[in-house]
Amino acid sequence: MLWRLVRLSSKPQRLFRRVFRYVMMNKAFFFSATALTVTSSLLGLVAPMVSGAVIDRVVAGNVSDIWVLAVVIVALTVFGSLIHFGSDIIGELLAQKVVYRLRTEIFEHLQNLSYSFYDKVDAGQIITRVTSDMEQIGRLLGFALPNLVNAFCMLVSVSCILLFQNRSLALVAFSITPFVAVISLTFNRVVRPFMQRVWTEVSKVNAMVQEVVAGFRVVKALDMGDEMIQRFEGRNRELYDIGMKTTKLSSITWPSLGLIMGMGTAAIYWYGGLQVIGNITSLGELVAFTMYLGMMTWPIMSIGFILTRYQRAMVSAQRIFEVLDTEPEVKESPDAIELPNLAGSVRFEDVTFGYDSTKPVLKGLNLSVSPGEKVAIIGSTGSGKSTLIKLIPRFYDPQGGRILVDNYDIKHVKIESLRKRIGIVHQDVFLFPLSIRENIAYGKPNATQDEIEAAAKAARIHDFIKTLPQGYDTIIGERGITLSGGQRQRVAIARSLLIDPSILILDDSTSSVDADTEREIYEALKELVKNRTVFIITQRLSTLKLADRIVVIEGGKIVEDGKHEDLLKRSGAYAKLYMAQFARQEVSG
Amino acid sequence: MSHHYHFHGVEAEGRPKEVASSVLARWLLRQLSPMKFAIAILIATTFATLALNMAGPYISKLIVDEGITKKDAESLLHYSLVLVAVAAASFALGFLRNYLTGFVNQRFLFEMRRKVFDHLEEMDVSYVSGERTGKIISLVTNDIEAIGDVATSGTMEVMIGALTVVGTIYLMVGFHLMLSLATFSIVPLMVIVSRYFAKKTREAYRLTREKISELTSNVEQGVSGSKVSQSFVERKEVDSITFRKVSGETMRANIRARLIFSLVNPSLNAIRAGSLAILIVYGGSLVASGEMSVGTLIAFYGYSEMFFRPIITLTTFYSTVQAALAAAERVYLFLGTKPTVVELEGSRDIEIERGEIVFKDVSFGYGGNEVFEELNLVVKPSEVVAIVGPTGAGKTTITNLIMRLYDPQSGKVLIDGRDVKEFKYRSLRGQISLVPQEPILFNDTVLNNIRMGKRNSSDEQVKNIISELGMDDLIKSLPEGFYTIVSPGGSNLSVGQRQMISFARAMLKDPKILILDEATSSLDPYTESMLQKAMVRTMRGRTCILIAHRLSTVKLAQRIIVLSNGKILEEGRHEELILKGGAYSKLYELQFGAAPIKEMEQALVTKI
Repeated sequence: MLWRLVRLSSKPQRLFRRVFRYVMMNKAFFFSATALTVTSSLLGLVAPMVSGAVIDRVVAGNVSDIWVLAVVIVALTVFGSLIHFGSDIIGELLAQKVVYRLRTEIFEHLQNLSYSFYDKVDAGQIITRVTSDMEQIGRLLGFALPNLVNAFCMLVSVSCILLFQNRSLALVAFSITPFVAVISLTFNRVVRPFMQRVWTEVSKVNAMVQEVVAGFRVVKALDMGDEMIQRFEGRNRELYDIGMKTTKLSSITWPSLGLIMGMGTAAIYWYGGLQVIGNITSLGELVAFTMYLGMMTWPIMSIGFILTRYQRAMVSAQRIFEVLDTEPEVKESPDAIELPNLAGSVRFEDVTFGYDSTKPVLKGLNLSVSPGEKVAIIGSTGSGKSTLIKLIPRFYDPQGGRILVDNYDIKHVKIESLRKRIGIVHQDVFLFPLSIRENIAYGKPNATQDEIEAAAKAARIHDFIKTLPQGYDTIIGERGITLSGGQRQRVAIARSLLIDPSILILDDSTSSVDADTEREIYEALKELVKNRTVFIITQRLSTLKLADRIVVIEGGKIVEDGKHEDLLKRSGAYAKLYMAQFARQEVSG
Repeated sequence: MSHHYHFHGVEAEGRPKEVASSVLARWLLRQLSPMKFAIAILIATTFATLALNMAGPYISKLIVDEGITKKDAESLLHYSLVLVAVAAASFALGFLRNYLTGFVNQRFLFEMRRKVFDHLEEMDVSYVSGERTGKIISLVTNDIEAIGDVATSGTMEVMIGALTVVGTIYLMVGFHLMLSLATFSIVPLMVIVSRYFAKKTREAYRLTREKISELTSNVEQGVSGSKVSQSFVERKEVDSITFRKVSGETMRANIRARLIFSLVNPSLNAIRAGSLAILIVYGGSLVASGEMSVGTLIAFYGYSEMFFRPIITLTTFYSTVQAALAAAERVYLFLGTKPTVVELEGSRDIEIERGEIVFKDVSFGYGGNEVFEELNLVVKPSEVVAIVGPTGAGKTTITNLIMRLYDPQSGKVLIDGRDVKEFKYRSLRGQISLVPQEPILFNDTVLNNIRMGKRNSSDEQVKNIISELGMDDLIKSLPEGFYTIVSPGGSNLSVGQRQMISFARAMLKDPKILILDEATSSLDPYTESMLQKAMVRTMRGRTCILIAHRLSTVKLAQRIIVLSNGKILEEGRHEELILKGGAYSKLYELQFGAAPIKEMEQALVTKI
């Protein structure tokens, strides 16, 4: 585990009990599946007895109604199979329902978790919890547990039958079982870890291939071909070595089992054979006995596999519950009110905040912004400007001080009603692999085509969209069209325009675009900032010009505050930063 | 009475499209030939195992008939011990067989992986790009394994299976022809049913894989866009509904697959039961009438068990082989693709003394798009040239041609008057450095990454170049300094840090020609200025080609070339071009529009 935001008991039994609570939400399924499994395994026990009876009849020469026994066997098999099938299906239904429920719970919980969670946790980890970890639980409940019930049933009932039929022979049979158990345990304890290591080496080999393919131009330019070959040889060889070690170990497992079974059968035949000769048992009983012995092997072997599966599934369960138990850091207070329509004033009162509470980035910051004001926040890297704006929509809560929007403390306002009124155009525009229309209407799923087009026109992207063969229905992303940086930004602007926010946060420090695009973006932004309170963070001169007030952050506090010309004249912090950041202009390419 | 029938390779799909199966089969045999000794022993042990397996039921027959029925305790003991001996021999043979199979498999995989990787290193840059990268990666991660599985253990299984079937038929018919025929009568039905199920199971599992893939995408999208979706609160409900829909579909796909999967064994067992019934009634009457001994009947039963199991495996083998051949075809075709940009015979180590670059009537295009038509370009020794122009104008292509990552269709690229084709790769690329826009580092220490710029450099030399470039602070800021390991994909370092390391790597070899391809475009202004300072320090005495968007970079050049659509529009010094009022000055002006900052600009111009 790479992180642990919540302390969770890692005892498999506790975890299982928790999973079992979900199982119990489907009582009917559980009990019927169990009943059917038990029935089908018990039915399976009848067959050897019938075979035994057949042998005896045959030996005695009494075959007149043997066909009855034949029919019985067929009927038993068919019936038993049907019941087994039924238990399989109900078991699977149960497993899938539990997994469905867990998946829904985790998804909805993830929607509520705050930024700090997503900062700490890597996307891949979250994805595995919703997919492969869930599958592990599904397989445990759908396959492993029913098998366990089956195996247990079989073992108990077969042992009883054997003991009942012929005690001395049964003891001979039981003397084999510890050996089978040992083989099964050894396989799990010893061989499986090796298989894990094989998998690790395979990943290393694959990672190297990926690395070389992705950086192929550089590999060639550096003429690193030979080195790469040597390095790969090393990894390839390690994989081979571990593969061979695993082969040596696993090669012996099944043959050992065969040996034990073979010796056991021989012993039974000999000892039982003597009994038949001495008229203590019939031949039929002996044959039945050997069949029962065969039926004991698989349950014993499978218990080992089931245990491993159980352990693995509980690891998955722990990972899933970890997320479910994580509380969002930004919580809505129970007496939160709905925010009415905003004029758009924002006030920071003595705000102190740090991602790590011991290292504050903002230190007692004060700022008051009137409705409709367009404020540019300037500072050097790490000064806290991006951090400041993240506090406004309550993506994080400050450690000290408070933030007010139209004189409402944002901590006492319903989070959704707050964020509805705030629009954000991010630095790295994130668009979804959906159609352009769906991307623009992302924040307002019920928007009409007219509304969408109006937003696109204002964002200066409508004309471009019209040039595309599928227009607004064109899909963005790998499966569709790749947009340039400037085009993406304009789609994001349209997206924000559509929700018509009272407060706008504009963070556009993207890399260079050509001059034509820059002008289009400027025009789009000009439209976007009309009649809203705007917070601007930018490296681009044209965007800076949209602001009517400049605020400079240094050391977690505001050090300068005023109009662009006035601040330049002062030759203070702003002038310095301006020279460093905006004096570098881009030549279009 | 019920068995677990196993479909070998149910999930495999596909078939070879271009290359004949016989060609592929022969190629595979050649790949296996280094292990022929092991394979020979393997085949021998397989035959021996078979013989022992066949013996098993026969010995039980002897135990019953000779020992038990005849009430001969001594024979009973005798044959029981024979059974033990057979079990012991089976054990030894089984172990040997598994080991050898594993060995052949591992060796096969090892050799294949090596061949593929070695060949990869020779390929053209143009081949290893775009769509193909995924396919190439898949060759190693999926295809080779798929071939290995079938070629080794799959083939063994089938061989044993086929021989077992033949052997048991022979023995059973030897015991009693009519009874055998009666027992075999259900085979056609079993074959039809198992092929039907194999196909259905394959489809059903493919569907579950698709759904899981959809689910993964949905979650991936949700997670990577989580910060955005939290900004757009109306989204919550919609996203939840979409997720539940995919989740529900996954659930249903899994249930459906299980349904089909669970039908397999019951169906086949039911059919088997029919055959067993026949055995009981018919066989029973034979024994009762004295035509057959009890022991024979029991043995017969044993053989029929041995017979039916491989039948199922064999019915699905054809499609498994096809899928493996499809994978083999992909590997075969890859290994057969020859690179076009190759080191020519007679190429030598040539030292670049002046660093003059000339493009003479160079025409080049790829994938049907023409990039240059008879381009002529000259870069003087130690000149610093900036190339500007819109995306797709051909700027990066120029750098690729200089480094001979591609060859022009016509015309020549000359360095110091010699065609780049005359250089040995090591010689050419050892004297020219490229710093691309996206810094690419490898999963190794920072020290070793930098060392890749000039192999066999000492640690001292690497540390010196860092100091010369003024990057000591950068290294200090890394968690383990020089010994920090760059993770795969470089995620543990910032873009700025990686680019600086990439630059140091480029400078380690003290190149005669330095190419910077939009090297600062991905950087924030602070890192950019650091890198530019380092660049300025080191540009003297080298021919430098700068491809850039940023004016600050372009202004470092002595000459600017404006490239558009593969043609040179203008070239000259910055001030000349501004005065000209042509393409360059237009690009430049577009940036400024409003006046107030102009004086600031002038001040900066004179400073640099």
